[in-house]
Amino acid sequence: GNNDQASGEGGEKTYELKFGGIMPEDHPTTIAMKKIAKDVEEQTDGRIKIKVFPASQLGDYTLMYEEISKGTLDMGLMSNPSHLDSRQEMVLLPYLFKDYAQAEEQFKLDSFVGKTLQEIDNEQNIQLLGFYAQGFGGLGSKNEVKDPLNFSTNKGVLLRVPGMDTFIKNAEDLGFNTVPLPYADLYTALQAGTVEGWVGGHPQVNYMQFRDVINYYYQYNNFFEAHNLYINKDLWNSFTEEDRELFQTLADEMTAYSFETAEQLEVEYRAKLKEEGIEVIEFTDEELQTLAEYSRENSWSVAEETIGKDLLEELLSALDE
Amino acid sequence: MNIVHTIWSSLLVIQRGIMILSSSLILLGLGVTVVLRYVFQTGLHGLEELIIIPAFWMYFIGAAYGTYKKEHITADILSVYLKGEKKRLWLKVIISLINCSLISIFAFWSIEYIIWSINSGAHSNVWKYPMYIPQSSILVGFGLMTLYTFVDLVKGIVNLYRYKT
Amino acid sequence: MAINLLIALTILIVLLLIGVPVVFTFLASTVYLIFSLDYDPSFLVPYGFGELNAPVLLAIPLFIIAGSLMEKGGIGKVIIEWTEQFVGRIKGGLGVVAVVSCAIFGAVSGSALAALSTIGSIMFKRLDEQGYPRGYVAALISNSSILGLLIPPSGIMILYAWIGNQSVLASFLSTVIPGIIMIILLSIINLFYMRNKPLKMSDASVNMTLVQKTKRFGIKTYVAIPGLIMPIIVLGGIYGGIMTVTEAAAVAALYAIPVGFWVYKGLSVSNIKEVLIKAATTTGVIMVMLYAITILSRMYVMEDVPGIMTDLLFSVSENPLILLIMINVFMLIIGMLMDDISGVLLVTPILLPVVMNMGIDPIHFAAILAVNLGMGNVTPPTAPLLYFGGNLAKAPINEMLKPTFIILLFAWLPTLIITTYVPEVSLFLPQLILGK
Ligand code: NA
Ligand code: NA
Repeated sequence: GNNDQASGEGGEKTYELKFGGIMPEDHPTTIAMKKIAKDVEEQTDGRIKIKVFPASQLGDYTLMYEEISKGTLDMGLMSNPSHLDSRQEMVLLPYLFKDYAQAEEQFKLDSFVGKTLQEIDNEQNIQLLGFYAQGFGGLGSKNEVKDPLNFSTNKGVLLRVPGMDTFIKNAEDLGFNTVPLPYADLYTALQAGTVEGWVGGHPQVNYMQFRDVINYYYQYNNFFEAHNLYINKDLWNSFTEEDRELFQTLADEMTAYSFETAEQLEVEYRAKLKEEGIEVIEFTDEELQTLAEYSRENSWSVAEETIGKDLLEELLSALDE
Repeated sequence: MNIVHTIWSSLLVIQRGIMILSSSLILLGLGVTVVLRYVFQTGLHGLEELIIIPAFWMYFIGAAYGTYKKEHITADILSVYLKGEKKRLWLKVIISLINCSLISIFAFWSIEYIIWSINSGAHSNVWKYPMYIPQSSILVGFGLMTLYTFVDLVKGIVNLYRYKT
Repeated sequence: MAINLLIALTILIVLLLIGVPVVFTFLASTVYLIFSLDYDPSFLVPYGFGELNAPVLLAIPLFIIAGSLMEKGGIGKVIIEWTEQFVGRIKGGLGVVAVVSCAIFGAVSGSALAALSTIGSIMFKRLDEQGYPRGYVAALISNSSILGLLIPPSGIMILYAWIGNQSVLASFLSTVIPGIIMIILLSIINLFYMRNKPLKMSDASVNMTLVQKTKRFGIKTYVAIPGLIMPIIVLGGIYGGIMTVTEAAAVAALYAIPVGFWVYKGLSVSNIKEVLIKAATTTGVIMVMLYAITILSRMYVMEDVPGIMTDLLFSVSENPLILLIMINVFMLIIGMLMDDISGVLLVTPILLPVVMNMGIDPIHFAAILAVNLGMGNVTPPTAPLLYFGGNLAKAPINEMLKPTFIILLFAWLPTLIITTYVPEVSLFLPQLILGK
């Protein structure tokens, strides 16, 4: 971007950075972005200024990722795109994590997941600084899901799934008829009944965006969503040791805070869904465990192609530790 | 001169071919989507991803063909008040020059973009086709627009020169 | 920085006035900003690609193709002739049909562009044949097409509700009455505007008996049935949950081919080729303009044009009545600079907190925003619907400016004032239906 670097009065570099996000203005994730911007500016006495652009104002996350790689955007807090490296999809494997504790364990820079993601991002000239936990997802639906825990019986719901092999396979293994549909068309399609349900959102999204068009929400916990805090690597390398420490400390605090609050938010938004008259179905730990085992056994095989057999095995053993 | 003429008209034939083919493919693709979902309660995953390819080729070849056909939208208020043939000819040259220089800048930037895209290995989600397949339509479109605005500029200068002599 | 923005705007307007095509004026403005502000330009081309990569945009060319196939096949003509049975004797009646059909189409589509391409590609020619001034027709339908945003569902209202964390249904309902006010005002303006114009009306049925009229109506209806199924496919398909808008557009086009071929016999193989080439060209012209607007809007975002304007706003007054006027003026300017989608993304996060602090209901603000940004689509210099309509109708922009000005003054402005200062207009239906 422009005015990235200039010499300050004391010979220290000054920065004006652009920081892009995908969540709405008053969403906790965006508030966290603004907090980082404010803290950095204060603690560097205005030497590093960060301008926050939330709500995909600078484009969708795949595009922002490319821009951070090239350096036309400096920082981002967003989903990890897989169009440059399919291995990014590893964090979206169905039932990768069994609970918040395990997710928090892996969404750390020194864990297996954290290290692998850092490597992948480094290859794209991007430094990964931390995560913002969004929570466990499930299935929003107009119709009741028949036998939600019984595998292979037809569920009676025409389900929209994101265009990702593991998602598609997992939903079909569970007995859903799946169809592709652009996310932009999803709301109207649900409203009209073109599709009857969708998988890929946590309670917050289902409440904020789809509460008018769904009657049921199933907390399947089939995937865990976390946003990634990125910074351009050349920029990162140009920082002084002190600046890097400051950014890393703030990123660590953000990651920890997001995990403290995510579970609470999930509960809150499930309650809000209920207030709207939507039937919320939750499962016991044992039931979720059965679903997870079944999914790993049957649905993960397709990921051998996208993320690679070796990585898949390493990931499994890292999780079992 | 004959060869130039052949290339010129073949380019137009190819563009018309791409426009017919791409729009037909889009219609077919979406028609199939509806039938699969409504009749068979299923869908071909990634079909919308495939449709992006003809869509972008239709957009940008259409834009290029529109430049050749001079169909780009113009407010065109000054020429109404401009008196005299010579002034009009000058205005045409100036406009062509502006058009040609602007679009050539963007054509150049899209070369950089396509090179980046090829090197990055960016691919689509489901079919894993390289993203430069739809993206290069921008380069081709802007390239052809540069050609047509340049030819326009040359014609404008020739007309002005003829008027003077 | 502000001076650079001012220069960029000046470049845009000057080039537009000397006759540089709209798309190049946007590119010129963008190039100036890039170089004067010392940006690395490498993000521009990919950003445009990313934004254009939206399946919903495909509905535009598909409705153009469907419309052209109808026109070439002869279906469109049959439908219009059938509709004329109801309004043929009223002077300027066909203009009213155009307004109302935009509203009805708006009830199934969330986009003004789709309404414009569908209704426009059928009605422009028909109105032209009756002798309506071309520039006027283009202006009327371009303005009417914005009913597609005001009559639910609406794309920008879904975005507003999502960003502002508001109820989508309530936001939808908030714009219904403002939409109805627009329908009435547009129809009155049309009847008034056309009252002294010589119009070629369809064949005189003045001396026909009721029996003859009924018989003729029956015949016209029978002939029109294969054509009348077309809107049923589109509307029923979308309402009945069979297809998305984009798919419905494609199916309509696919349906129009055999009907145009074998029933109305207007289509031939070369005809279809011609339609596809023509539609792709029109689409390309629109898309590359959309592309240019998109990257220019991105520069506005990065340079925080709305932020600069917000500061301006608050330095003037803190009185709610005056602030409301200023907010409207502010949104008018935003509307002049960009399309409704970029506008709603920019305005909502900045103004919603301000407006809520002033004690204004967010659902009330939804309607103010929709009317403003809807209107923004026809206020130059960035007036995509006006340019699109002009291109579809083959009307020079300068012939569209006077009627557009009249419509802005006597339809948009009153609607905007009523919506802004009478909260019940936007809150009545949400309260009635949602009990909110
Ligand atoms: Na609508
Ligand atoms: Na405008």
